[in-house]
Amino acid sequence: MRDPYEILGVAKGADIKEVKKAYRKLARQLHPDLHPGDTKAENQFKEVSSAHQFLSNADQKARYDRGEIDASGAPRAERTFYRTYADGRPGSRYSDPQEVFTDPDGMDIFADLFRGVRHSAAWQAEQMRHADTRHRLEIDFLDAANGAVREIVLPGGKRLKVTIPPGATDGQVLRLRGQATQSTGGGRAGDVLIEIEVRPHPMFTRKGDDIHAELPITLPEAVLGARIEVPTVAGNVTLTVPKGANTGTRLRVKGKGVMAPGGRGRGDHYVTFKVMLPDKPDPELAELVEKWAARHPYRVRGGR
Amino acid sequence: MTTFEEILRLHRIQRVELTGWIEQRWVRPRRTAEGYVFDEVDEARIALISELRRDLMVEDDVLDLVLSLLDQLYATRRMLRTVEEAFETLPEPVRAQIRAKLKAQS
Repeated sequence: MRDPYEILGVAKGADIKEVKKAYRKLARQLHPDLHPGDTKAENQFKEVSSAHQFLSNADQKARYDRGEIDASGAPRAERTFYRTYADGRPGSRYSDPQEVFTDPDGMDIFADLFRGVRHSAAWQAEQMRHADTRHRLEIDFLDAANGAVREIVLPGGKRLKVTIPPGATDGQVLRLRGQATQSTGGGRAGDVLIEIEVRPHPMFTRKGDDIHAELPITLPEAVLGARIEVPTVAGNVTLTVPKGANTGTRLRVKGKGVMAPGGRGRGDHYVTFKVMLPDKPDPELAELVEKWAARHPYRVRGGR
Repeated sequence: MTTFEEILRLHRIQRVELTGWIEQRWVRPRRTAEGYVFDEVDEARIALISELRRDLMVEDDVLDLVLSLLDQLYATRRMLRTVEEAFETLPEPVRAQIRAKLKAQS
């Protein structure tokens, strides 16, 4: 590999700040995703990236500067840049937020060319029959788990109360019959389809009707056991931490998960303990553990 | 196809970061009963977002603008490919006509 300083266009032995500055400038010019049409960009960017990565490792840079090692880095793993996906069908997931090209009448370019594609006779007839309105509704994790009532405003100003069923899932579509504004063709009023988007929760992960959460516990709580209050989607519960609970130990709290559809009862809430030492190193604790460790060695790695 | 947890580990990002990116629709994984599922396009996008933030030091409000512009750019390119594909199915005399017109334009 060529000299990394040369690749980045800085003086040999330049400090890391200069290296990073030079890399930023080059990356902006060469990053394939920022220059979709540039075929040479990919190889050039990979070379520049390798050089940057090599020099970003302080130890490596120091040794290279001293002449102890050469710049032969390991070859970078094969990488497919975003632009390759974005140029094709997979990229349509990330259409421009205003979806300029979805509605042919909204386009200023290609309007003539593409008018025939969407507005076939059958499609127009379908529009006359019933104009369904699609609406996306974002709700909180807890509202989805427990059910809620939300109000939405349709285009045109009409307000609608929407009952979110308990146990609603992300991507679920609710149908409110006959609530859409009538299509201009005079067909009968269509339905309002509401696509539910559930916001993720910082602590809870949903798996079916069960909720999984990581629960930090202190060292004394783990070693000696404890009774602690723990949040669930169904409210707080008092949990008994068993003596000797370890990181990764899992406990099930029955019936404190998500309401199953159809009101069949709730799923369960699972906690996985994570033992946390105090934030700041404690000399008293260290002294204690040193004495203890001498008399009680135990293995957690390697063959048993 | 990759899970939320695997993404955090593979791309060395924080849970709170990825959650935020999904909420802002910078990343749009598919949703299944088991949770979010990330396709290759989503992973490549996460790699891009990571690089823009970490290496190119693009701040989040600017990044929002950058992603919006990129999305418009790629949508335009996809549209052009559709036109190109249609163009290729035309008879050669018609294509020759179009080429001549384009040359005259520029």
